[in-house]
Amino acid sequence: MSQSLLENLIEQLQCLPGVGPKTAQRMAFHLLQRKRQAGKELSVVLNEAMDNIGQCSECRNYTELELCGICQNAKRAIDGTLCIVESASDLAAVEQSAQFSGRYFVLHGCLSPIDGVGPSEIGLFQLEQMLENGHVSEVILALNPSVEGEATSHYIADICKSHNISITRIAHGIPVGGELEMVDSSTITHALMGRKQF
Amino acid sequence: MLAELESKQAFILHTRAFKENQLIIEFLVEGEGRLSIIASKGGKKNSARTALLQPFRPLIIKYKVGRGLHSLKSVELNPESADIRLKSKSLFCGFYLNEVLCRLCKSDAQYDELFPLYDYAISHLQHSSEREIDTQSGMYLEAILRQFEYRLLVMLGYGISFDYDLHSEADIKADKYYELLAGSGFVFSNTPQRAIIGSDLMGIDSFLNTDLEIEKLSAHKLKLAKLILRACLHRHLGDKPLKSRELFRK
Ligand SMILES: [Zn+2]
Repeated sequence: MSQSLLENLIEQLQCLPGVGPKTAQRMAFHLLQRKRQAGKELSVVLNEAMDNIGQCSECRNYTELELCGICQNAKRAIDGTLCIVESASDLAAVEQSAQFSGRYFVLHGCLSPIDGVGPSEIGLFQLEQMLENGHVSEVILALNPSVEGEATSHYIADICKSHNISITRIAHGIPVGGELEMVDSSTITHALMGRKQF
Repeated sequence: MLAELESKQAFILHTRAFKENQLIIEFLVEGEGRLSIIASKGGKKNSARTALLQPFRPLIIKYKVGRGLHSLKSVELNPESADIRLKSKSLFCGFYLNEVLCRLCKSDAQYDELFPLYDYAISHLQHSSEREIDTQSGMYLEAILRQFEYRLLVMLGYGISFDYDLHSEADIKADKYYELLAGSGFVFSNTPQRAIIGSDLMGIDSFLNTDLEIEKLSAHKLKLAKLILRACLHRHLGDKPLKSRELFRK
Protein backbone atom coordinates (compact mmCIF):
# COMPACT_ATOMS: atom_id res chain seq x y z
CA MET A 1 0.00 0.00 0.00
CA SER A 2 1.41 3.35 -0.96
CA GLN A 3 1.55 6.19 1.55
CA SER A 4 -1.22 8.80 1.36
CA LEU A 5 -0.32 12.46 0.88
CA LEU A 6 -1.41 13.18 4.42
CA GLU A 7 0.81 10.44 5.83
CA ASN A 8 3.71 11.73 3.81
CA LEU A 9 3.17 15.28 5.11
CA ILE A 10 3.08 14.03 8.70
CA GLU A 11 6.25 12.06 8.14
CA GLN A 12 8.14 14.96 6.55
CA LEU A 13 7.19 17.36 9.34
CA GLN A 14 9.07 15.11 11.73
CA CYS A 15 12.37 16.31 10.33
CA LEU A 16 11.93 19.37 12.56
CA PRO A 17 13.64 19.25 15.96
CA GLY A 18 11.34 18.28 18.80
CA VAL A 19 8.59 17.11 16.46
CA GLY A 20 7.45 13.52 16.87
CA PRO A 21 4.54 11.74 15.15
CA LYS A 22 1.91 13.23 17.50
CA THR A 23 3.04 16.82 17.08
CA ALA A 24 3.50 16.36 13.34
CA GLN A 25 -0.07 15.13 13.04
CA ARG A 26 -1.35 18.09 15.02
CA MET A 27 0.61 20.47 12.78
CA ALA A 28 -0.71 18.86 9.60
CA PHE A 29 -4.35 19.02 10.75
CA HIS A 30 -3.88 22.58 11.93
CA LEU A 31 -2.61 23.68 8.51
CA LEU A 32 -5.33 21.78 6.67
CA GLN A 33 -8.17 22.99 8.86
CA ARG A 34 -7.43 26.65 9.26
CA LYS A 35 -4.17 27.74 7.74
CA ARG A 36 -4.17 26.52 4.17
CA GLN A 37 -3.00 29.84 2.78
CA ALA A 38 -0.27 30.17 5.41
CA GLY A 39 0.74 26.60 4.66
CA LYS A 40 1.15 27.42 0.98
CA GLU A 41 3.20 30.49 1.75
CA LEU A 42 5.32 28.42 4.13
CA SER A 43 6.01 25.88 1.42
CA VAL A 44 7.07 28.58 -1.04
CA VAL A 45 9.42 30.33 1.36
CA LEU A 46 10.77 27.02 2.62
CA ASN A 47 11.59 26.01 -0.91
CA GLU A 48 13.27 29.30 -1.72
CA ALA A 49 15.18 29.35 1.54
CA MET A 50 16.54 25.85 1.04
CA ASP A 51 17.63 26.72 -2.48
CA ASN A 52 19.09 30.14 -1.89
CA ILE A 53 20.40 30.53 1.64
CA GLY A 54 24.08 29.80 1.78
CA GLN A 55 26.91 31.03 3.94
CA CYS A 56 28.41 34.51 4.03
CA SER A 57 31.80 34.34 2.36
CA GLU A 58 33.40 36.26 5.23
CA CYS A 59 31.79 35.10 8.46
CA ARG A 60 30.00 31.91 7.35
CA ASN A 61 26.69 33.02 8.86
CA TYR A 62 23.58 32.06 6.90
CA THR A 63 22.59 34.51 4.20
CA GLU A 64 21.27 34.51 0.64
CA LEU A 65 23.81 37.21 -0.24
CA GLU A 66 27.52 36.98 -0.90
CA LEU A 67 28.09 39.05 2.25
CA CYS A 68 25.69 39.09 5.19
CA GLY A 69 24.28 42.32 6.63
CA ILE A 70 26.83 42.46 9.45
CA CYS A 71 29.82 42.01 7.15
CA GLN A 72 28.44 44.65 4.77
CA ASN A 73 28.25 47.16 7.60
CA ALA A 74 31.55 49.06 7.56
CA LYS A 75 30.95 50.36 11.12
CA ARG A 76 31.30 46.87 12.47
CA ALA A 77 34.83 46.57 11.17
CA ILE A 78 36.07 49.76 12.85
CA ASP A 79 37.31 48.33 16.14
CA GLY A 80 38.76 45.19 14.54
CA THR A 81 37.17 42.71 16.95
CA LEU A 82 36.07 39.30 15.74
CA CYS A 83 33.77 37.17 17.86
CA ILE A 84 33.96 33.43 17.15
CA VAL A 85 30.83 31.38 17.80
CA GLU A 86 29.88 27.74 17.29
CA SER A 87 26.54 28.25 15.62
CA ALA A 88 24.28 30.75 13.92
CA SER A 89 22.01 30.60 16.95
CA ASP A 90 24.92 31.53 19.23
CA LEU A 91 25.57 34.49 16.93
CA ALA A 92 21.94 35.52 17.27
CA ALA A 93 22.21 35.25 21.06
CA VAL A 94 25.29 37.49 21.24
CA GLU A 95 23.71 39.91 18.75
CA GLN A 96 20.57 40.10 20.89
CA SER A 97 22.58 41.16 23.93
CA ALA A 98 23.57 44.29 21.93
CA GLN A 99 26.90 44.31 23.78
CA PHE A 100 29.08 43.58 20.81
CA SER A 101 29.69 45.82 17.83
CA GLY A 102 32.40 43.97 15.93
CA ARG A 103 32.20 41.15 13.42
CA TYR A 104 31.65 37.42 13.78
CA PHE A 105 32.94 34.13 12.51
CA VAL A 106 30.65 31.10 12.67
CA LEU A 107 32.28 27.68 12.97
CA HIS A 108 29.12 25.57 12.56
CA GLY A 109 30.53 23.07 15.03
CA CYS A 110 33.55 22.32 17.14
CA LEU A 111 36.68 20.22 16.68
CA SER A 112 35.71 16.59 17.21
CA PRO A 113 38.05 14.26 15.33
CA ILE A 114 36.15 11.11 16.31
CA ASP A 115 33.13 12.54 14.48
CA GLY A 116 35.29 13.41 11.49
CA VAL A 117 35.35 17.12 12.32
CA GLY A 118 38.80 18.63 11.97
CA PRO A 119 40.05 22.19 11.38
CA SER A 120 38.97 22.36 7.73
CA GLU A 121 35.39 21.22 8.48
CA ILE A 122 34.80 24.19 10.77
CA GLY A 123 36.48 26.78 8.55
CA LEU A 124 39.66 27.24 10.56
CA PHE A 125 41.84 27.53 7.46
CA GLN A 126 39.55 30.30 6.20
CA LEU A 127 39.79 31.92 9.63
CA GLU A 128 43.58 31.73 9.55
CA GLN A 129 43.63 33.44 6.16
CA MET A 130 41.37 36.15 7.47
CA LEU A 131 43.67 36.75 10.44
CA GLU A 132 46.67 36.85 8.13
CA ASN A 133 45.09 39.63 6.12
CA GLY A 134 45.46 41.85 9.15
CA HIS A 135 42.10 43.55 9.60
CA VAL A 136 41.44 41.82 12.92
CA SER A 137 43.07 43.14 16.07
CA GLU A 138 41.28 41.09 18.72
CA VAL A 139 39.59 37.71 18.68
CA ILE A 140 36.88 37.00 21.24
CA LEU A 141 36.07 33.34 21.77
CA ALA A 142 32.44 32.69 22.63
CA LEU A 143 32.46 28.89 22.50
CA ASN A 144 30.65 26.45 24.73
CA PRO A 145 32.53 25.12 27.74
CA SER A 146 32.77 21.54 26.50
CA VAL A 147 35.94 19.54 25.93
CA GLU A 148 35.47 20.05 22.18
CA GLY A 149 34.98 23.79 22.68
CA GLU A 150 38.16 23.83 24.76
CA ALA A 151 40.15 22.07 22.02
CA THR A 152 38.77 24.47 19.41
CA SER A 153 39.72 27.44 21.60
CA HIS A 154 43.27 26.16 21.93
CA TYR A 155 43.59 25.64 18.21
CA ILE A 156 42.39 29.18 17.49
CA ALA A 157 44.59 30.62 20.25
CA ASP A 158 47.55 28.98 18.52
CA ILE A 159 46.68 30.66 15.22
CA CYS A 160 46.29 34.03 16.97
CA LYS A 161 49.61 33.63 18.71
CA SER A 162 51.45 33.03 15.47
CA HIS A 163 49.89 36.19 13.98
CA ASN A 164 50.29 38.31 17.13
CA ILE A 165 46.58 38.90 17.55
CA SER A 166 45.22 39.33 21.06
CA ILE A 167 42.67 36.76 22.11
CA THR A 168 40.13 36.75 24.94
CA ARG A 169 37.33 34.42 25.86
CA ILE A 170 33.96 35.21 27.33
CA ALA A 171 33.60 34.25 30.97
CA HIS A 172 31.47 31.17 31.54
CA GLY A 173 29.95 31.67 34.89
CA ILE A 174 26.98 31.30 37.14
CA PRO A 175 23.77 31.69 35.17
CA VAL A 176 21.46 34.51 36.25
CA GLY A 177 19.05 32.95 38.72
CA GLY A 178 21.41 30.05 39.33
CA GLU A 179 22.37 28.94 42.80
CA LEU A 180 26.03 28.50 43.64
CA GLU A 181 25.55 25.17 45.34
CA MET A 182 23.80 23.77 42.28
CA VAL A 183 26.64 24.73 39.99
CA ASP A 184 29.38 22.22 39.27
CA SER A 185 33.00 22.82 40.16
CA SER A 186 34.17 23.44 36.59
CA THR A 187 31.61 26.24 36.14
CA ILE A 188 32.78 27.79 39.39
CA THR A 189 36.38 27.49 38.18
CA HIS A 190 35.48 29.31 34.96
CA ALA A 191 33.49 31.92 36.86
CA LEU A 192 36.44 32.58 39.18
CA MET A 193 38.84 32.82 36.28
CA GLY A 194 36.60 35.31 34.53
CA ARG A 195 36.00 37.49 37.60
CA LYS A 196 35.99 41.28 37.28
CA GLN A 197 36.57 44.30 39.52
CA PHE A 198 33.44 44.91 41.58
CA MET B 1 14.36 -8.68 42.66
CA LEU B 2 16.62 -5.77 41.80
CA ALA B 3 20.25 -6.75 42.06
CA GLU B 4 22.57 -4.12 43.48
CA LEU B 5 24.35 -2.46 40.57
CA GLU B 6 28.10 -2.54 40.69
CA SER B 7 30.07 0.71 40.76
CA LYS B 8 32.77 0.83 38.12
CA GLN B 9 35.49 3.23 37.13
CA ALA B 10 35.00 4.65 33.67
CA PHE B 11 36.05 7.28 31.17
CA ILE B 12 33.90 8.77 28.45
CA LEU B 13 35.37 8.32 24.98
CA HIS B 14 32.60 9.83 22.92
CA THR B 15 29.08 11.16 23.25
CA ARG B 16 26.38 11.58 20.66
CA ALA B 17 22.80 12.79 20.80
CA PHE B 18 20.10 10.15 20.60
CA LYS B 19 16.41 10.94 20.13
CA GLU B 20 15.14 14.08 21.85
CA ASN B 21 16.62 13.98 25.30
CA GLN B 22 19.07 11.16 25.32
CA LEU B 23 22.72 10.51 24.74
CA ILE B 24 24.56 7.44 23.61
CA ILE B 25 27.79 7.50 25.52
CA GLU B 26 30.77 5.41 24.58
CA PHE B 27 32.44 4.52 27.88
CA LEU B 28 35.68 2.80 28.65
CA VAL B 29 34.81 0.74 31.73
CA GLU B 30 37.31 -0.94 34.07
CA GLY B 31 37.36 -4.72 33.72
CA GLU B 32 35.05 -4.54 30.70
CA GLY B 33 36.19 -2.50 27.72
CA ARG B 34 34.24 -0.19 25.43
CA LEU B 35 30.56 -0.05 26.27
CA SER B 36 27.76 1.95 24.66
CA ILE B 37 25.50 3.21 27.42
CA ILE B 38 22.38 5.26 27.00
CA ALA B 39 21.82 8.22 29.31
CA SER B 40 19.39 11.07 29.64
CA LYS B 41 20.71 14.53 28.86
CA GLY B 42 21.65 16.62 31.86
CA GLY B 43 19.53 19.50 30.61
CA LYS B 44 19.87 23.14 31.57
CA LYS B 45 18.78 22.60 35.15
CA ASN B 46 21.47 20.05 35.77
CA SER B 47 24.68 21.68 34.65
CA ALA B 48 26.66 19.61 37.15
CA ARG B 49 25.73 16.41 35.37
CA THR B 50 26.38 17.86 31.92
CA ALA B 51 29.84 18.89 33.06
CA LEU B 52 30.49 15.36 34.32
CA LEU B 53 29.53 13.78 31.01
CA GLN B 54 32.70 14.96 29.28
CA PRO B 55 35.61 12.96 27.96
CA PHE B 56 38.71 12.35 30.13
CA ARG B 57 37.14 12.96 33.55
CA PRO B 58 37.66 10.00 35.91
CA LEU B 59 34.17 8.75 36.70
CA ILE B 60 32.42 6.15 38.79
CA ILE B 61 29.32 4.86 37.04
CA LYS B 62 26.51 2.44 37.70
CA TYR B 63 24.63 1.04 34.75
CA LYS B 64 21.98 -1.50 34.04
CA VAL B 65 22.93 -4.20 31.58
CA GLY B 66 20.49 -4.46 28.71
CA ARG B 67 20.26 -6.75 25.72
CA GLY B 68 21.27 -4.04 23.25
CA LEU B 69 22.25 -0.79 24.90
CA HIS B 70 22.96 -0.56 28.59
CA SER B 71 21.44 2.30 30.56
CA LEU B 72 23.24 4.68 32.85
CA LYS B 73 21.88 4.79 36.40
CA SER B 74 24.34 7.09 38.13
CA VAL B 75 27.53 8.95 37.49
CA GLU B 76 29.92 10.78 39.79
CA LEU B 77 33.50 11.97 39.81
CA ASN B 78 35.86 9.30 41.12
CA PRO B 79 36.75 10.58 44.61
CA GLU B 80 39.88 8.40 44.69
CA SER B 81 41.33 9.92 41.58
CA ALA B 82 42.64 13.38 40.74
CA ASP B 83 40.38 15.19 38.29
CA ILE B 84 41.58 15.44 34.72
CA ARG B 85 41.50 18.76 32.84
CA LEU B 86 43.58 18.44 29.73
CA LYS B 87 44.84 21.65 28.15
CA SER B 88 46.26 22.66 24.79
CA LYS B 89 48.50 19.97 23.29
CA SER B 90 47.68 17.43 25.99
CA LEU B 91 44.04 17.81 25.08
CA PHE B 92 44.77 17.14 21.41
CA CYS B 93 46.74 14.07 22.48
CA GLY B 94 43.73 12.95 24.49
CA PHE B 95 41.55 13.20 21.38
CA TYR B 96 44.18 11.20 19.52
CA LEU B 97 44.11 8.42 22.14
CA ASN B 98 40.32 8.28 21.96
CA GLU B 99 40.29 8.09 18.19
CA VAL B 100 42.97 5.38 18.01
CA LEU B 101 41.18 3.41 20.70
CA CYS B 102 37.77 3.68 19.05
CA ARG B 103 39.21 2.73 15.66
CA LEU B 104 41.10 -0.32 16.93
CA CYS B 105 38.91 -1.72 19.71
CA LYS B 106 35.43 -3.01 19.05
CA SER B 107 32.50 -1.78 21.04
CA ASP B 108 31.09 -4.26 23.57
CA ALA B 109 34.06 -6.56 23.31
CA GLN B 110 35.90 -7.61 26.47
CA TYR B 111 39.25 -5.90 26.98
CA ASP B 112 40.37 -6.32 30.60
CA GLU B 113 43.66 -4.50 30.23
CA LEU B 114 42.38 -1.52 28.31
CA PHE B 115 41.28 0.59 31.27
CA PRO B 116 44.60 0.66 33.16
CA LEU B 117 46.44 1.30 29.92
CA TYR B 118 44.28 4.31 29.10
CA ASP B 119 44.23 5.52 32.71
CA TYR B 120 48.04 5.53 32.69
CA ALA B 121 48.24 7.52 29.46
CA ILE B 122 45.58 10.07 30.48
CA SER B 123 47.06 10.72 33.90
CA HIS B 124 50.45 11.35 32.30
CA LEU B 125 48.85 13.75 29.83
CA GLN B 126 47.33 15.53 32.79
CA HIS B 127 50.71 15.61 34.50
CA SER B 128 52.20 17.23 31.42
CA SER B 129 49.30 19.65 31.15
CA GLU B 130 49.65 20.76 34.80
CA ARG B 131 53.37 21.26 34.87
CA GLU B 132 53.57 22.49 31.30
CA ILE B 133 56.36 19.99 30.72
CA ASP B 134 58.23 20.45 27.45
CA THR B 135 55.46 22.35 25.70
CA GLN B 136 58.18 23.34 23.24
CA SER B 137 59.74 20.06 22.19
CA GLY B 138 56.67 17.97 22.92
CA MET B 139 58.89 14.96 23.70
CA TYR B 140 57.13 14.01 26.89
CA LEU B 141 53.74 13.95 25.14
CA GLU B 142 55.20 12.03 22.19
CA ALA B 143 56.57 9.46 24.63
CA ILE B 144 53.16 8.97 26.26
CA LEU B 145 51.50 8.47 22.86
CA ARG B 146 54.13 5.95 21.72
CA GLN B 147 53.75 3.90 24.90
CA PHE B 148 50.00 3.89 24.49
CA GLU B 149 50.13 2.87 20.83
CA TYR B 150 52.60 0.07 21.51
CA ARG B 151 50.74 -1.31 24.51
CA LEU B 152 47.42 -1.15 22.69
CA LEU B 153 48.88 -3.10 19.74
CA VAL B 154 50.33 -5.70 22.14
CA MET B 155 47.01 -5.97 23.97
CA LEU B 156 45.25 -6.64 20.67
CA GLY B 157 47.77 -9.33 19.79
CA TYR B 158 49.81 -7.27 17.34
CA GLY B 159 53.08 -7.19 19.28
CA ILE B 160 56.34 -6.08 17.66
CA SER B 161 59.62 -7.89 18.35
CA PHE B 162 62.56 -5.55 18.68
CA ASP B 163 65.20 -8.03 19.82
CA TYR B 164 65.57 -10.71 17.13
CA ASP B 165 65.53 -11.10 13.36
CA LEU B 166 62.17 -12.61 12.40
CA HIS B 167 63.73 -14.74 9.63
CA SER B 168 66.97 -16.01 11.11
CA GLU B 169 65.84 -15.69 14.74
CA ALA B 170 69.32 -14.35 15.53
CA ASP B 171 69.62 -11.45 17.96
CA ILE B 172 69.52 -7.96 16.47
CA LYS B 173 73.12 -6.76 16.07
CA ALA B 174 74.09 -3.16 16.70
CA ASP B 175 76.04 -2.76 13.45
CA LYS B 176 73.68 -4.57 11.06
CA TYR B 177 70.76 -3.05 9.13
CA TYR B 178 67.12 -4.10 9.45
CA GLU B 179 63.74 -3.36 7.99
CA LEU B 180 60.23 -3.67 9.38
CA LEU B 181 58.34 -6.78 8.34
CA ALA B 182 54.54 -6.91 8.27
CA GLY B 183 54.24 -4.71 11.33
CA SER B 184 55.43 -7.48 13.61
CA GLY B 185 59.20 -7.18 13.79
CA PHE B 186 62.44 -6.75 11.87
CA VAL B 187 64.50 -8.67 9.34
CA PHE B 188 68.04 -8.25 8.10
CA SER B 189 68.27 -5.85 5.16
CA ASN B 190 70.74 -5.62 2.29
CA THR B 191 69.85 -2.04 1.47
CA PRO B 192 71.19 0.14 4.29
CA GLN B 193 69.85 3.32 2.63
CA ARG B 194 66.28 2.30 3.41
CA ALA B 195 66.90 0.40 6.61
CA ILE B 196 67.37 1.01 10.33
CA ILE B 197 70.67 0.31 12.04
CA GLY B 198 70.43 -2.28 14.82
CA SER B 199 71.82 0.02 17.51
CA ASP B 200 68.87 2.38 16.93
CA LEU B 201 66.39 -0.40 17.62
CA MET B 202 67.96 -1.24 20.95
CA GLY B 203 66.24 0.13 24.01
CA ILE B 204 63.04 1.09 22.19
CA ASP B 205 61.02 -1.86 23.48
CA SER B 206 62.12 -1.49 27.09
CA PHE B 207 61.17 2.18 26.90
CA LEU B 208 57.78 1.33 25.40
CA ASN B 209 57.18 -1.28 28.09
CA THR B 210 58.42 0.45 31.20
CA ASP B 211 56.27 3.04 32.92
CA LEU B 212 59.07 4.88 34.61
CA GLU B 213 61.26 5.41 31.60
CA ILE B 214 59.01 7.92 29.92
CA GLU B 215 61.71 10.59 29.58
CA LYS B 216 64.60 8.25 28.91
CA LEU B 217 64.62 7.87 25.16
CA SER B 218 66.70 10.08 22.88
CA ALA B 219 64.86 12.37 20.47
CA HIS B 220 66.25 10.34 17.59
CA LYS B 221 64.99 6.99 18.90
CA LEU B 222 61.65 8.51 19.87
CA LYS B 223 61.22 9.71 16.31
CA LEU B 224 62.13 6.28 15.01
CA ALA B 225 59.63 4.67 17.40
CA LYS B 226 57.00 7.01 15.97
CA LEU B 227 57.72 5.94 12.39
CA ILE B 228 57.71 2.25 13.30
CA LEU B 229 54.49 2.48 15.30
CA ARG B 230 52.83 4.58 12.63
CA ALA B 231 53.58 1.91 10.04
CA CYS B 232 52.27 -0.81 12.37
CA LEU B 233 49.12 1.16 13.23
CA HIS B 234 48.52 1.82 9.56
CA ARG B 235 48.24 -1.93 8.91
CA HIS B 236 45.36 -2.18 11.36
CA LEU B 237 43.68 1.18 10.80
CA GLY B 238 43.38 0.87 7.05
CA ASP B 239 43.51 3.77 4.62
CA LYS B 240 41.22 6.17 6.44
CA PRO B 241 43.58 8.64 8.10
CA LEU B 242 43.29 9.55 11.76
CA LYS B 243 41.42 12.83 11.91
CA SER B 244 43.00 13.93 15.18
CA ARG B 245 46.43 14.18 13.50
CA GLU B 246 45.04 17.33 11.82
CA LEU B 247 44.88 19.04 15.21
CA PHE B 248 48.63 19.30 15.46
CA ARG B 249 49.53 22.46 13.57
CA LYS B 250 52.91 22.55 11.91
ZN1 LIG C 1 29.06 37.81 7.21
